[in-house]
Amino acid sequence: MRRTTLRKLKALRHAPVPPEVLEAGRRKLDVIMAEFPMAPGGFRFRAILWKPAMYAAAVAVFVATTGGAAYAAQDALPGDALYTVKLAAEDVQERLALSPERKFVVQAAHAAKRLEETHVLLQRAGLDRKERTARVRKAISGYEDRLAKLDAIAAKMADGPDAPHEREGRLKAVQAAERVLDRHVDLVASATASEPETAESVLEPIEGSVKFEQDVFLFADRSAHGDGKEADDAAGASRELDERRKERGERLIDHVERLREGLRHRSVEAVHGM
Amino acid sequence: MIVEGLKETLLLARIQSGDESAFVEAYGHFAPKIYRHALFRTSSPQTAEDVMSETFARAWGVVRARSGEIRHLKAFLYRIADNLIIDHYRSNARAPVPIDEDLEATLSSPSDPQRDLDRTLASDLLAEGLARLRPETRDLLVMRYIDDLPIGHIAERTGKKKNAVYVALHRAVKELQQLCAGPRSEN
Repeated sequence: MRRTTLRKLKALRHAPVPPEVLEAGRRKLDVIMAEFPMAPGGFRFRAILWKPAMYAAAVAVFVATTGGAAYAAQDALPGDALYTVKLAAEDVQERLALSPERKFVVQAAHAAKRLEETHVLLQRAGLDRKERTARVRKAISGYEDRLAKLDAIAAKMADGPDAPHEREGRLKAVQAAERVLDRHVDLVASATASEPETAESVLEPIEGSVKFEQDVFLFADRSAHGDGKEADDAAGASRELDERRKERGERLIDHVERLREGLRHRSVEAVHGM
Repeated sequence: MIVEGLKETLLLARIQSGDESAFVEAYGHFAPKIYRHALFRTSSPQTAEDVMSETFARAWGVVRARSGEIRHLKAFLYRIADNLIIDHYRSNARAPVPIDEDLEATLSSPSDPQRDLDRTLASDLLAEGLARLRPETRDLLVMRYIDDLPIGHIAERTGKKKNAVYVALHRAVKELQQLCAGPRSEN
């Protein structure tokens, strides 16, 4: 009942205004404006200064209320007031990406951002351990979400048609995936050195990273099956990818082992009160 | 809302820079809104028409002479219209509030089905409810639901606190509901 009343009330916003009333008002206004024109004098000179200033102000208002907020939120970190604005802006970007390849690249870029946020949080001074851990977990949880989405898109691309013109897009997607995975390995390495306790949470998505890597590898490998030079190029790229994958895996295992060793060492120190 | 605000700022910039055609554009944009605002507050099409044309005449007087600083065009125009409506209330302090037949006629010239439906809803509400409300109650409903003003602006204009505006609006809608339901239950 209340809703109906409100709906009826709001419908009055569009209640028609008789055109003859508007026309009569306009005629009166024309007469007044003709009889009492805009005051002359220095006004025009002032107007020249006014215009650009007001246009600039209008643009500033627009930027401040729309793009401005998103721009200001670019460097926001988990726990900051503008972080949700940043995520919302990313969400819009993701929705605007239409092809699976483009979606993949956008998701990969956002996954890399979550890792970058983690890195900044690990380095930032003035945060106590509890707060740092909570914020890092939030960023890492965002990273894991992106990995899951990337994985789903990779599976879709692997099942999709394998037209030669799509290979370039796929190659870009694989490169984007590689950059994300490399960044994750680097993050594990820097976390090992700077913040071993908090770095535990950085380790959590490794399983997801590895699974994602396998899927990307499979999908890149599938692209290698074809005819002629393109197939040779793709096979070459696939072999290269495989080598880099092994190298990354070795680095990752190495860093993870060091991190675990560091954590064990600290636990022993804590138990013995050293 | 943002685009609307941007348009308004640009329009004001042009008006203040001496562009007369911008004021005419402002008339095209705001005149129907001012008319509705006055119509639903006074329940009189004649008064609404007078308020609308007088609002723009006074606004032009300020603009051409640059005798006052205008920061927000919409707020500026509504303030003039509000003052004119207050004058109208004062001069008709003891006159009965009309349940206006002209108003129904104003709202019921046919064109397309959706508009007709809106008009029917509008005239029904106005005839049975809005016009019977106390002026201050009606003003609140008009400002919030017809002029689409934010609660903060209404609070500023009425000199009430935001919470008080929320409560008053809630009561006003309830009152309107009862007034609209009244004649039906009698039938």
